[in-house]
Amino acid sequence: MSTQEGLNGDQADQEGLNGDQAVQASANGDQVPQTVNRRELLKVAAAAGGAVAAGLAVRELTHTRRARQFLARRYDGEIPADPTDRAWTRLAAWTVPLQIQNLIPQHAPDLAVAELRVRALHNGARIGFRVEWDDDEEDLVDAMARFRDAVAVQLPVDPAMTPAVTMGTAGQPVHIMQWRASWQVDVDQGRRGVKDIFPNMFHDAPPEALAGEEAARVFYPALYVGNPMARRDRSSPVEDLVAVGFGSLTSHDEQTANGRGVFNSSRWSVTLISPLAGGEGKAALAPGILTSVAFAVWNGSHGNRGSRKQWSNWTELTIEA
Amino acid sequence: MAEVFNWQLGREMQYPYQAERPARQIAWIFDTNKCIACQTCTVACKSTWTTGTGQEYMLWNNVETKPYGFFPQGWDVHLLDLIGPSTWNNGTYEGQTVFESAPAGERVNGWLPMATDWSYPNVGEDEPAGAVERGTYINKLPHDTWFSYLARICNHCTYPACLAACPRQAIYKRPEDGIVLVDQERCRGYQECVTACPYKKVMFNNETRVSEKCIACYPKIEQGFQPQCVTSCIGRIRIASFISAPDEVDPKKPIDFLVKVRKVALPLYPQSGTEPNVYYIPPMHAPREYLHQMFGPGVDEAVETYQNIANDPELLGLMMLFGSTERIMHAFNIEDGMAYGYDEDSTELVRVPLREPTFIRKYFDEVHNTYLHNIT
Repeated sequence: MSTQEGLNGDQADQEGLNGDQAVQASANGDQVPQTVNRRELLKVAAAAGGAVAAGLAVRELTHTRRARQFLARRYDGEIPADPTDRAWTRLAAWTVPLQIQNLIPQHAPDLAVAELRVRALHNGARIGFRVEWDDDEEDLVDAMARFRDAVAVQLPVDPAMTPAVTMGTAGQPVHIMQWRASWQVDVDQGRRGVKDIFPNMFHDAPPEALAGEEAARVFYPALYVGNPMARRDRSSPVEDLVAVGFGSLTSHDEQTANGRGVFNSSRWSVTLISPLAGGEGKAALAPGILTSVAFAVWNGSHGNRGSRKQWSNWTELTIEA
Repeated sequence: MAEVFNWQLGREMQYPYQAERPARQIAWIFDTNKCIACQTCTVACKSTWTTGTGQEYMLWNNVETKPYGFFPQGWDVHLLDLIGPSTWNNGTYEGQTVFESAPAGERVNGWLPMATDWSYPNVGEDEPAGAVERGTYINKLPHDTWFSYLARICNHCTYPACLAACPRQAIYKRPEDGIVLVDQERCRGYQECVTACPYKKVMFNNETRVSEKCIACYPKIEQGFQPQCVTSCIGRIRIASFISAPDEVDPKKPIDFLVKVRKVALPLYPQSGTEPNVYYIPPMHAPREYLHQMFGPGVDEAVETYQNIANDPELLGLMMLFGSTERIMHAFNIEDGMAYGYDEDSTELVRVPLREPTFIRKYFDEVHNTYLHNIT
């Protein structure tokens, strides 16, 4: 569809991003953006001039009509974790092309997922992403030589920065939220373990039978030292992480992300929801700003894990005022 | 990739990180000739470290029968297949290591065992390499029909492939003693280390969803004791102590003496390139071709030196000190038919005779009016 020339610059831009979805102009469309970058400065300058036509002319020089980013729509109410909720499905999806991670070893073997379809919502307090991709097989298990499907959303901690898309750099950290199918099963059905992977496994005297649950924790080193991989009381399938480059990924001390993944008809639909401003080390988002977002996806049955993944470049993300 | 020196290969090789040898390196000697595969080491390790749920299949220490035993299935066959033909020229390895042969996009040339590969720890146990004809009397070395036992733990390699493969530096080699550990807090369970280790001594815990491995009983080593698998060995085939850097030799150190002076103990599949720190005295009854493939070009010299042990008081004395103390023996000495083991501060830990005194009883016991089976 064409941009709505009658609106001010900001609103027209947002409409352009949203492809084929018709949206009513909102009353707060003229809010001044919070962040400062080249594009925003131009927008502010145009608004200060008070001439819509002049503003549009400047925009034409800096911005093509073809939509290049997507919009986190303002939503009145709790962001639904359920990806099948109509609040999500009625939104038009923004397509994000993916590429094989082959910058650093270990490389992904093949392009298991070619593109993602993403949507975003915020309610002024929380922001949610809904990511959807095609997958022939549901990989739910984290076990020996078996890997689970997963997806991640990456945001600059400082929304005005565009850190290296390769998981940030020193001084320019990124906030990553990862959802794993195995964690979804943990949340839905209770913690999965050896007995679920190998139902016929016989263990005559596990430590907890001899020492009690609490004293036996020492027999599970990763659990004992608090490794999030090992936790038994998982309440969210999404983990908050920080990174300053490949190999630096570290779980955040304060876990605030949530979400939900649903597999249906050879397709994963996953929501990842986080506070707009999650605090120290997390993306500091706010209504009305422009920032960047990137995605990664793992297909377990293709041996995807860690650096063996499909990833996207930065996509511009506008958070509706 | 950095150029690092691997003394076992006699040359420089490619490794993802710069060489940084620890202040000292823990190392082991296993005498395969004395091993009876009783698995006491396996049980000692298992009952000490891997009794948790998720660790059921884990044998950080295992003893397998060669040539048809392996845990996991075919680990050595896979390794040899991956790195291809390996030739030696005057002690220098001319083939490729697991690092040099890594395909594009990989840090290490490896393979990831499936659950079924970990399901048969006793496969091939006591199976000879061929059929024994009726009437065969084995009276020569090496034997025509043979099997031998290979006790295995993590090699705490100087250039660990597991460490090289971890994309998030969750594996580290301790600078104080060279022990290689998986950081249980940092590991995210990618299993790249399991894929990379040529000896398949990193294992994935299905319950905690991270990888684990032999920790060399570091709480014992820190207090001057040898690991559980060493001190529990009833055949006294093992010793653990520190090995000097490649350009240093101290003939008073047990490991240096066996590896660098007498050269009776050899690394297992040195062609992997990881510079493993468990050294084996090769089984003298196994065919040399097999031993060359397994332990490299030093096999002939090692076997001959070992066979001459009766005329070598130093070697004999040191071998008698195996299994004689739970403490780490930093030095040894032979004097007047006795072998002495010393602590780090030169205090005596233990003394043993080079030859156990023998007493012969009479065949007929007059007191009990009976004949004796065992008279020595």
